[in-house]
Order: sequence, then C-alpha cells, then structure tokens
Amino acid sequence: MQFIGYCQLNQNLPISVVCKNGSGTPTTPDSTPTWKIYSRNFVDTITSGSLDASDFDSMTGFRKKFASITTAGGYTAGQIYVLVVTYTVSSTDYYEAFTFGVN
Amino acid sequence: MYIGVHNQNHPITLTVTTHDGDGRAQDADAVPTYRLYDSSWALVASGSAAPKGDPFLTGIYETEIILPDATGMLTCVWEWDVSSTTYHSFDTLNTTGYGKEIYNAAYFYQQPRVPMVLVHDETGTHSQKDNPRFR
Repeated sequence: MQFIGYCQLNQNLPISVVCKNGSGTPTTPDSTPTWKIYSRNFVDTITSGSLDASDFDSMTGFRKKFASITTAGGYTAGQIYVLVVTYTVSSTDYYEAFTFGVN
Repeated sequence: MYIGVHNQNHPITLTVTTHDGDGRAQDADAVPTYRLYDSSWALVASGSAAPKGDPFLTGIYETEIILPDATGMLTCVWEWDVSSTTYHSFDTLNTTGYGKEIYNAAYFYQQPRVPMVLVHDETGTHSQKDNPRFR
C-alpha cells in the first residue's frame, strides 16, 4: 500500500489512478472509477465518491478527482487513513490502495 | 511514489523509471515528460527529463526544477512510450507547511558555522587556521 503524503485538515486531497488492463497497459475503464476512504483499521468508511468520467489531459486511463478533508466530514488531524480506488477494465475489477496522513 | 516535503521556489529533482507493461525497466522511445498539478488539479509546471547515469541506466530519467509557488499536495504525472505504447505513472509530494518540522531540521543542519579562517603570512602563503572566536 503506497503512502501518498499529508493533507492538511480542511484542504483538498488529490486522488488519481492509472487504469490498466491485465497486461499493464493504460486503458480507458469500462465505467467511472470510484474511491472510498476508510479509517486506518478499515472499520469505518469516512467518505466515498467517483473519479472523473473521462480521461484527464488526454492521458489514456488516467482519472483524477479530489476529496475535501474536513472536520465535518469525519477527519481528525494526526490520523492515518486508507484510500481505495476501484475500476473495471474488460469486465475485470481492479483495486489500488493508498494511505495518507491528515495534519 | 511519495517523494517527500519540499520548499516552494527551491530546486527539486524529479526522477522516473520508465517500464513496459510487465513492469520491467525499459528505455523510453523518447524522453519522458512530466506534468505537475496542484491539489485542485491545476497545472503548475511541465517539462521533460534526461537519461541518468554514465553509462545511462536503463529506464532512469531525471530533471531538476524549481518547485512552483503552490501549496499542499502536488501530483507529478509522468508519460512515456515504450515500443510505441504509452504509459503513465504518478508521484506525490508536499510543499513546506505540510510536515515542515522534519524538513526544516534538515535544512538548518546543512548550514553549520565553520570554525576556520584563511590566513596568510608575509610571504603571501595562505593556510587555514582555527578561528579564535570558536575556541
């Protein structure tokens, strides 16, 4: 699980993924990828959403978005969270997991 | 890959390992390009990288840039071709203010006061001596 950095409370967390097929080639996914952010122990889902519906900046398979990391949204400074991005290529589901800190 | 905390308007080295679909390091068909985005996905810098090493190391490219005046989390997206197939990867980093304590400690450590002075005698010969202010 890859660490992607620190997000300050009440700022944006950039989320991105390179969707690939089974051969590792960047590929436009079948549908819009989704993301979920969990507490460190995976017990709680804090927030969730979708990435953009189309490839970003003419980069095949590259999808992005940002999540608002707010106190009202359930985030606490000093905690580590897990981000899971899900996408589907040729009817096969793929998952990528990341961790980040909030300060 | 997370590449750490960096000061805005200071040099930073960006490195990428180009690879094929199996993840094996391969030289790119042409030099890889990068695009650096801020936390709202606005483009703040872009360019290309040069081969690294002598002789060149397979698939290793790097470039040094001055980090733009952008705050928060930045994303550096790389793009390259291997055998005419286009690949992407991305790195993330923080600018100062988001974990700055660690970075500032290293920054000041790199600037020690040097207790030496350069002196010369009547023949014009130069030598280094301990600076008496630091004895």
